[in-house]
Amino acid sequence: MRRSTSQRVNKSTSRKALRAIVTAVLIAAAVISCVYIDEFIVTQTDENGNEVTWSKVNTEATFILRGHIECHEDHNGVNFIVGFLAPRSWKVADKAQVTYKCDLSEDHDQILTMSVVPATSLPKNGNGRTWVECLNQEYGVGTNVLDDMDWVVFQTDDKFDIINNQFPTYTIYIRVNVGDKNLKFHPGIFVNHTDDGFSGGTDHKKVLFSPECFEVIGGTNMTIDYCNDHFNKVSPMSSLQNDYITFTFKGSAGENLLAATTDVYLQGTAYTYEGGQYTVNTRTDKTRMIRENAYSDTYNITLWPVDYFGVPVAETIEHIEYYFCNNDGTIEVTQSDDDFVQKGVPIPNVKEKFIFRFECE
Amino acid sequence: MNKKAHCFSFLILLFSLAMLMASCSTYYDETTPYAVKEAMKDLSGSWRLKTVTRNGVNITNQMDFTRFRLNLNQDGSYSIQNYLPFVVSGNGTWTVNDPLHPMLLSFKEEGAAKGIDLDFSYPVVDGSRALSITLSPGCHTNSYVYTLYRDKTE
Repeated sequence: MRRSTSQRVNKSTSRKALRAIVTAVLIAAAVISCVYIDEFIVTQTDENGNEVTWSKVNTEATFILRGHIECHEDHNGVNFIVGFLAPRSWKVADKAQVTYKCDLSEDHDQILTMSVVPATSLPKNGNGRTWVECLNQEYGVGTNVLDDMDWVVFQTDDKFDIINNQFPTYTIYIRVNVGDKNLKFHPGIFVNHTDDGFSGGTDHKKVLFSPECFEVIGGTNMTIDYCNDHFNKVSPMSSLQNDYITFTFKGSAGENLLAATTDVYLQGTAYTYEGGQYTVNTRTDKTRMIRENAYSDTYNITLWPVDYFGVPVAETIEHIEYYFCNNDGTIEVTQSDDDFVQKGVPIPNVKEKFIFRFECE
Repeated sequence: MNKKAHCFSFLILLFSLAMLMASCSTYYDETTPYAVKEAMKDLSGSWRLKTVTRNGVNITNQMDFTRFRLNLNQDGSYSIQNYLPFVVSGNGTWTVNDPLHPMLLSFKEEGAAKGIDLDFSYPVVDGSRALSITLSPGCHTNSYVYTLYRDKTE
């Protein structure tokens, strides 16, 4: 008897607890507003009216973001936020024009403007970080393999009140000159609003990296490929001879014999504007690259080019030709090896070396 | 007699009041006994690199920065040993804008027409003063932070 009373009490308590949990979940579901990305269009229209995922150098490309908001709570005086990830050479903060249309405005087709968020305007829940710092730390360069990219964050110039049970759609247009360099990358997009301000959850903020690789063609340089791993990588890509530059050998980028060895060395020649050539072809502690970890096929070396190649003070380095090799110099990985792996180009009798040009924009 | 006594008492009261008022106003201490005099910030010494960041990424362990020395001499001259990219390359003179609250550190190379001003901070880290300098010796898009510590072997 005592037991059955106790069971009834337990059952009743459990039911109450369950009801409380269900109610809490429903309330929670009811107050959550969500921001969604529906599509991110990186394709452009060429001269023949075809949709293509490339633009010619020095032309303008338009990236279109469509999404919607499902609002289950009131937000007043909100600026909507959009972040765009692109190669640093595009100078998006200076050159992009960002506009949008939104069902929250009186005229749904009215094109409104967005501006770069000042560095002094911090996101509400960013723990003292700027919007750009939040995006860099949270998402980095996403699916891209080179880090010479910038997140640029824009906010609507108008503020909006959005109320419970409003489900507006939005379209954002990012128009930007694609610069004069051949390159390809995965554009990244981020949406949020100031009332959320980069909070921990993902209901109010979304990020997306285009699975398609957008390409800029028609320039004179070799294509800078942010989309695929190559045997070589240089950081920062915009550097001069008084920068510290990190050269990376990525053994996992394709089949090669060098990745199976234990020591990898950087060899090369610096060419100066004054006509000087300074070669480093010794395999010593100075030229040995550091393996990232015991299980990695990635090796790095950071150097000050002037010191590494022994360039006199009066000369200025124009470019470096370099390659990676093993400890007795019998195995080399060069640009020709990379072209063979990436594009199937036959390896010539005399292999072409990797080239790094010292440029600063 | 009674009148005389009253008059005497009144004079004594008046004198006492005058003394009391005088005692309140004759001494005013202008010193602030609890104030601590702020020390001059002495930046002189031999400084070595402790950490180097490039565009926010710590690269200290990626190459050998340990041999670099920035010697800020007490006579106002400076020299650099085992040179690495810096705001100046040759020897010269150094100054700060304010010895009490230094905000700008200036270097003027020998023979240069004008000096180079650097924003810097002077935080106390692990009980010692550090010198933190932001510079772009190469491409302007690359920003480095050098954090230097006084060389204890000097």
